[in-house]
Amino acid sequence: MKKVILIADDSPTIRKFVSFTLKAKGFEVVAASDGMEAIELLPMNDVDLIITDLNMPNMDGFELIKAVRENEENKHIPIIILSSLKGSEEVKRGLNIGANSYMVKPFDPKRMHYEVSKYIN
Amino acid sequence: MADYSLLVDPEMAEIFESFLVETKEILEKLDIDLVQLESTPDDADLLNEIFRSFHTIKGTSGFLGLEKLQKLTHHLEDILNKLRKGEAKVNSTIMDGILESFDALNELLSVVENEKNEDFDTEPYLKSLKEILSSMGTESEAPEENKQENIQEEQKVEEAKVEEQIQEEPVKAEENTEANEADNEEDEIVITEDMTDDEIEQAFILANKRAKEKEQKASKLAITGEAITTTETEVAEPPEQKNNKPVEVPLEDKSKKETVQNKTAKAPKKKVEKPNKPSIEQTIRVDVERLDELLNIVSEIVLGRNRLTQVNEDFTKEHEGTELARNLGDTTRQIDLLTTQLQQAVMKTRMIRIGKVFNKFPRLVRDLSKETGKKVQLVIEGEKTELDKTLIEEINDPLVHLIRNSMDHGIEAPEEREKVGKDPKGTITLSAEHEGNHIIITIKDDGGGIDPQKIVAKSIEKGIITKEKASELTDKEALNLIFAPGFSTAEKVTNISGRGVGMDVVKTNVTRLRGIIDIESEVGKGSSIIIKLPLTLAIIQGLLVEIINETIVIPLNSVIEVITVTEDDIYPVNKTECIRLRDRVIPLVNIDQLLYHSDTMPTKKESQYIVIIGLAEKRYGIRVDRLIGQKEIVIKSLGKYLGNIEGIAGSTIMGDGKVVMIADIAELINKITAENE
Repeated sequence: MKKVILIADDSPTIRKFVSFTLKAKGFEVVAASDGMEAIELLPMNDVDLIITDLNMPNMDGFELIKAVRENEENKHIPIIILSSLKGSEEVKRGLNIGANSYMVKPFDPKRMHYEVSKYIN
Repeated sequence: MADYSLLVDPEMAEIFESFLVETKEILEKLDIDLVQLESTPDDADLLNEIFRSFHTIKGTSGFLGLEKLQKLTHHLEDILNKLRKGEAKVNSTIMDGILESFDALNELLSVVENEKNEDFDTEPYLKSLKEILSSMGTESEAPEENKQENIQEEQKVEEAKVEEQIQEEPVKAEENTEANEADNEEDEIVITEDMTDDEIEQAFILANKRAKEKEQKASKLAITGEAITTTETEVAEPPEQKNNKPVEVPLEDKSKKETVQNKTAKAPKKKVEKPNKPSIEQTIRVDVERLDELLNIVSEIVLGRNRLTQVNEDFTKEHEGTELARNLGDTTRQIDLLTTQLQQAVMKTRMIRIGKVFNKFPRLVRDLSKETGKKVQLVIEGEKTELDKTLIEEINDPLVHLIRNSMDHGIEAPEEREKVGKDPKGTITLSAEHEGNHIIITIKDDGGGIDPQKIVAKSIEKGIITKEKASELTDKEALNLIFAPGFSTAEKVTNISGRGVGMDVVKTNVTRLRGIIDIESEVGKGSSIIIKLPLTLAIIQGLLVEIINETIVIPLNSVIEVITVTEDDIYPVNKTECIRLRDRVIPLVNIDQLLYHSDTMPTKKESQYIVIIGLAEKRYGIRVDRLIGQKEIVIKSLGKYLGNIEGIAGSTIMGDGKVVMIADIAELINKITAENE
């Protein structure tokens, strides 16, 4: 059974890039353009891992992380932050509120696969 | 040397395409946002929005290895970051610098798109951005840059490590990640939640040292990435546990049920398509050529439909009351309805908001304001009005010219405006609205207006019109002289409107799109240019008339009205036949003579139909023998063999298979005007 990864990023290019990379490795990818959509998608898909951007409209990555961690159903799901280095403060904040690790944009497909495989295989 | 192989990698084609679309959209939005920023420099939301726009471009261009693009947006992002944090305030130097680099960004992107590389010199822009940045606040960017370098070094190590593992022990790497993690512990940068910034930096520096040793092993990678793991008591639960976790399925929620069924049963693939989640990737991009082809086929279907309707009518006449006739009638009506729906649906796919064009103008007005020293605000209305794609592309240049014109000749200098008690800041209003099958675009300014007498005087001087003719003109007609070829009232040719294109070119362009252009002006109050365009080019509403045994289509948008007169109502003025309609003298034209140079006069009848045609303020009457009806007409070009026949816009095929010419009213009126002089 394929593992499902949810990617939340407001950039369609990055969503595509992540989907492309992970699908090639045999994962299923569900894409959301912001935190709100991600929250909506969670109950519909048995998500094994969340990769999220921090800076998004409507509902940002921090709110998403918080919401996931506060929900009994979802709080076990590992979360990887996908962000640029610029906001190292922000990344720290994201880790503080419950994200497991982070990746810097841009990243190499192998790097992403390695990071993802820490949590699911 | 940067590696652009990703840009031509067929596997990346879709992502590259998506990147271009996204980036262009962001740049279009930035174009408006940046100009807006100048007038509301303290708008925090706007600053955040602009910051995010640059940030996104930076992120996505990094994926594709576009280093210059990434660097340029990175600098812009830095400036915006300071602005949004309130460390500096927007001033004209900063604004000019940002806009300059923004333009460079646009150019760079088109190089990327067309040449699949970054062959564009960004250095001068980077330099000026750096200068702006250093003038902005005391806080230096250096530490952050260093940190980034450190991390980039470190990330190379990480890459190398991953690479190594994958190469050496592929199976193990896939299967036993936890072991890998343990193995690599000493190479990981470990950041705990309570570490300070300095400590984090120390960790990076330490890692950097270790990195040196392994660097040789690092393979070259087009794109790099980075990961840092936090120490967590529980990193993640074993995946098995999760999968067995029971999922609550409320019965009323169909989507959940389906998904779970999918999953627990056998077809996990379906899930990715998210059938009940319409908000993601709801648009698909289609090549314009395909849409054109579709439109072409639909046009043919419309012709076929017209033909079918005709056949049905003929058949019914002969076999009225038979079952066959009824069946044919039913089918014909159904096809008729569906064709209309199909045609509308296809038309809709080609519709684009005029905002696409309008949104470029705030920047234009801003730049022109700076150039001329005139203060102007641009008000945009109805930017959501939709218009066929072809028209959108064609209308841009005329609008640019008209706005330049309003800026140059319309709006007065601030001192002048103050003298006459106006707001020193002029207003240009650009608006669009639908009116039936047409779109009306208005460019209105509150400038000095146009004096018809001045126009007339100039026209006489330039030999556009004779003195005798001039005396007969109404003010409205006089104003319309500005559209005559070779006319320009500008005292001196300026950089702005004097680019060799006059209003006549604007008019020609609009006319070519089967549009009508008109002008209204009041001295001291301002002027309006009104452009009326059909929503689409391929299919028009036409009035079918018969003139001396010949059927001709007159585009309905040129038809003002149809009247019936008696022979007594027609009287000659200067050898031209005229009629009087509501206190206005309207000359009659012999269309047969104009089109075919024949001398056959329409048979004089007691009661005569006259079709009044109009272009701007000009009105003419055409004698017609019979009115056939109003129909949807698909325009077909005459092809190379016949080429351009003056006065004929094209042809169409009638229901009975006959080919009928479509009159080009604008050309005809020009012809009449020319022959009268």
